Amino acid sequence: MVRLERVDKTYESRRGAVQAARDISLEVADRELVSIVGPSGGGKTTILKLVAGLLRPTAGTIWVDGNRVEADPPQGIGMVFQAPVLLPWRSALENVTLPARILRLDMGAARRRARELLEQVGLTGFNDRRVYELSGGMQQRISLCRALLHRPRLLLMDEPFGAVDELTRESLNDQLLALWQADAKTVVFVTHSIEEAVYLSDRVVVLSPRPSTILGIETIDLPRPRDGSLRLEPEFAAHVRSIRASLGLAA
Amino acid sequence: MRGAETAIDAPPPPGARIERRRRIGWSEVSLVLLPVLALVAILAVWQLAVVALDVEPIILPRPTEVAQSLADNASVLSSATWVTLGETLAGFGAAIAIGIPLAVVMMYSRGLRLTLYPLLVVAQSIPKVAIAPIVLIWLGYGFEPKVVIAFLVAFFPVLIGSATGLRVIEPDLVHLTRSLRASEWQTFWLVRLPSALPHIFSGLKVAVTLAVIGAVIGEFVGATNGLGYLVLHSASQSNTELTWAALVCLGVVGVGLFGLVALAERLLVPWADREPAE
Repeated sequence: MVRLERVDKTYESRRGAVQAARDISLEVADRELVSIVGPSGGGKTTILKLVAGLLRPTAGTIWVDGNRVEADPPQGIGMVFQAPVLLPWRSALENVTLPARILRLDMGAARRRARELLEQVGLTGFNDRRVYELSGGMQQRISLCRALLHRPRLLLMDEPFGAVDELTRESLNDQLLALWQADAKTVVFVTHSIEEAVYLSDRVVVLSPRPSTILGIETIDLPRPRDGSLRLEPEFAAHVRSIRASLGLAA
Repeated sequence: MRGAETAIDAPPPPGARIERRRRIGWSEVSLVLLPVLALVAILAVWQLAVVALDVEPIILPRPTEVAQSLADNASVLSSATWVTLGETLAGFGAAIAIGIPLAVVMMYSRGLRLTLYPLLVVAQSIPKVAIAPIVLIWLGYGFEPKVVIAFLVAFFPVLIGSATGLRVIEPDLVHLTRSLRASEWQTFWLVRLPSALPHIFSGLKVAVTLAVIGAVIGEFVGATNGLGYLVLHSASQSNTELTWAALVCLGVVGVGLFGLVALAERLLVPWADREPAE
C-alpha cells in the first residue's frame, strides 16, 4: 500500500541544510496499522508529510497504492493532525462533511455517513454544536471522523492524541481501534508514546534522532481485538522494553 | 475504559450550559450599564461645576444648554450628520473594497508584496491632515475629497488586518485541504478567508472610527456642510452650545458605526477570542 525506497529529506534554511530523514526504506501492507515512534524534533512528521505528498523528498521514491507520489498528494488519503484544526465557523457535522464538499461528493450521503461516524465515536447529539464549545478530546474525535468521511484507503495520523491527557488518549486509542476493526484501512500513525504505538500497531518503526534513520522495526504479535487490560500484560511490557532498548533508553 | 470515557469526556450536563449563558447575560448588561452610569455621573458633575463656578457659556456650556441646542438645531444637525455619515461610509466602503482584495493579491504574489509593502508603510507614515489640502485642490470642496480622505485613513488598518489574518492561518489547515487535493480556489473560500475574518474585523473596527476622523479632517480643510464644518462655523460665531451639540452628533456617528461593525463581527465571527471548552 505504501512503499518508501531510500528516501532522504533535507530542509534548506538560511543557516544551512538540515537533514531530517536519511535512507528511509519501509513497506506498509494493505490494511496494516504501522506506527512510527522516535524522539521529538526527529523526522517522524516529515516522513508522514512525504507520504502525504505535502513535501517532496530530496532523494528516493515513494509509492502509495501503486502510484508514485509526485507533485500532488495521492488520491484517497485521510489525515489527522496533532491539533484538531477544525473550522470554528462550521458545526460539528459540517466539519465532518468538509472532505465531501472539497471532493464534490453527494452531500446528502455525506451527511448520513457523518452522522454515523459521529455516533460511532460517541458524539451523538452534538451534530449541530459549534466546535469551539467542545473539549479538546471531542474536537479530536470530530477530526478523526472528518478524516474517515470519504472512506480513504490510507489514513495518516500525525501525533493525533499527543495534546490530550492520558486517560482521554487511552479512550481515543480504543475508539480508533474500533473504527479500524470495523472498516480496516491502512494506517500510518506517528507518535512519541511507545505504549500508544505498541497498543495500536501491527508493527512499530523506531526512528533515531535527527537525521532520522530506521533503528529497527518491532512486530507486535499481540492478539486483537485489544482492550485496556492488555497494557498490564507482560507481553506488552516486553515489546515496550524492546523498543526502549533500540532507542537506547534504560529498560 | 468506557467508564473512564464517560467520566472524563462526557458531554456537559444541560444545567452547566444554562449557567454559562446566564453569566454571559449579566456581564453583557453590566457592559452597557457601567459606562452609562459613568457618563451620567460625568454630566452631573459638569452641570454642577459650571453652575457653581459660574462659567461663561462661551467657555463651557451646561449639558442642559447643549441639550437645548440639540433640540433647537435639530434640522441643521441632522442634515450635517447625514452628510458626514455619507462621506464616512463611502470612504470606509472604499477601504474595504480595495483593502481586502489587495491583501489577498499580496498574499499570493511575493513580488507584489515586496514591492508594495514598503511603499504603503511610507505612505502611511505621512499624516493625512497634511495631505488633505492637496486632495481639496484636486477635487474641490464637495463630497468627493472627504470620501478620499476618509478612505486614505481607513485603508491601512483594513489592509494590515486582512494581510495578517491571511498570513497567520494554521499551516495544517492548508495541509488538510491539500491532502484532499483541493484547488486553491476551494482552499481560499472554504478555509483561508473565513480563518482571516477575526483579524479582518479587528482592522475594520479601527478603520471605521478613523474614517469618521478622515471625513471631519476633510470638512475642516474646506466644506460648506457636515458636522466638521458645523463645529468650525459655530465656534467662529461663538455659538459654543451648537459646537458641543455637533460634537455629540459626531460621537453618536462614531459609536454607532463602531457598534454596527462589532455587531457584524459577533454575528459572523462568534468564535473569535474563544478558548476551546475544557
